[in-house]
Amino acid sequence: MEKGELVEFPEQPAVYAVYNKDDQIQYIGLTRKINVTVSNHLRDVPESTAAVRYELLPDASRDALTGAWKAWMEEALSETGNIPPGNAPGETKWQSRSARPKADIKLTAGKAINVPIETLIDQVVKSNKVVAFVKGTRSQPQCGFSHKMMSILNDMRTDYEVVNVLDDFHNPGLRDAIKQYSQWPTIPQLYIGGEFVGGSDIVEQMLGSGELQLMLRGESK
Amino acid sequence: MVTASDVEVKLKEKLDAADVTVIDTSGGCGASFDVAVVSDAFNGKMLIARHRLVHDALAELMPDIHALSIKRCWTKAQQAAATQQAAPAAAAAGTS
Repeated sequence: MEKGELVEFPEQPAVYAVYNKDDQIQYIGLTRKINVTVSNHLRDVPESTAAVRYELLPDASRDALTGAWKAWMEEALSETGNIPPGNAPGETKWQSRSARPKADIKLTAGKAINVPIETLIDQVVKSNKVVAFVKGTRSQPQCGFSHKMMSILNDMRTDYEVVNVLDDFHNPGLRDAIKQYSQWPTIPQLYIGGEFVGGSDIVEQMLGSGELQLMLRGESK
Repeated sequence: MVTASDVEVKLKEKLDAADVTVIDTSGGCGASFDVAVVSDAFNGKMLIARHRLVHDALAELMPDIHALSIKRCWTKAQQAAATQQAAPAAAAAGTS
């Protein structure tokens, strides 16, 4: 099979192998949309993505897809004696992060506990690098400003936690308590490195000025 | 109900603002505003401190406002600089 050039890939399911510029196999993957996946690899691991060999499997069943992937994997194993570095256990650079979105943080299990909500807020803020308190969830924001803040964090591929202030069952009283905690009257609220950063207007302006990028890399101040 | 002019009056009064722009984005129910403020009360203050000043100025109205988007908190010097930058462009547009 010829190695495909990195030009235009069809929007179809495929099994594929990625090679670096020294023609060494880097990763064997399975995708529903080869065009999207290859552009993700080019963005995430450009240094290792020089060529892609692929086989389109337009109407294959789930089993047929995994079967094809296994066959490719075995072929690579017999040729090189190793599994490709991108498929090594614990390797995350090649796996799509959007495949399994992180669950939101819940401050309580929904049972009455004797810890004040302020203490729980403080714990979450201090023990996570980036935390957004929003209305709604990652997948279903229930306010335009919360949506905007999470979109900015997603675009920057930030690893961040989400707490839903509208989930009164798991986060009782949070909607008002978070405003007291930061002395800030609106939601969403972003915290980085244990410090309150601002609401969506501030985050947007800091993105424009480059400050947000510095802060997320821990280089500010 | 809160009107755009209520918001404007408060900001001018509490922040001694030189210039205030308030846009009612709620479609008339007074629950949602975009604001831009120019005031020397912002001198030497970080963006977050400037936003806090705006929130404090509107504290009495906040319970009735659902959404407040602070588009701009400029000092007079920042506004002057921005106007100066825009002026040559406007002049150029005028000659065409």
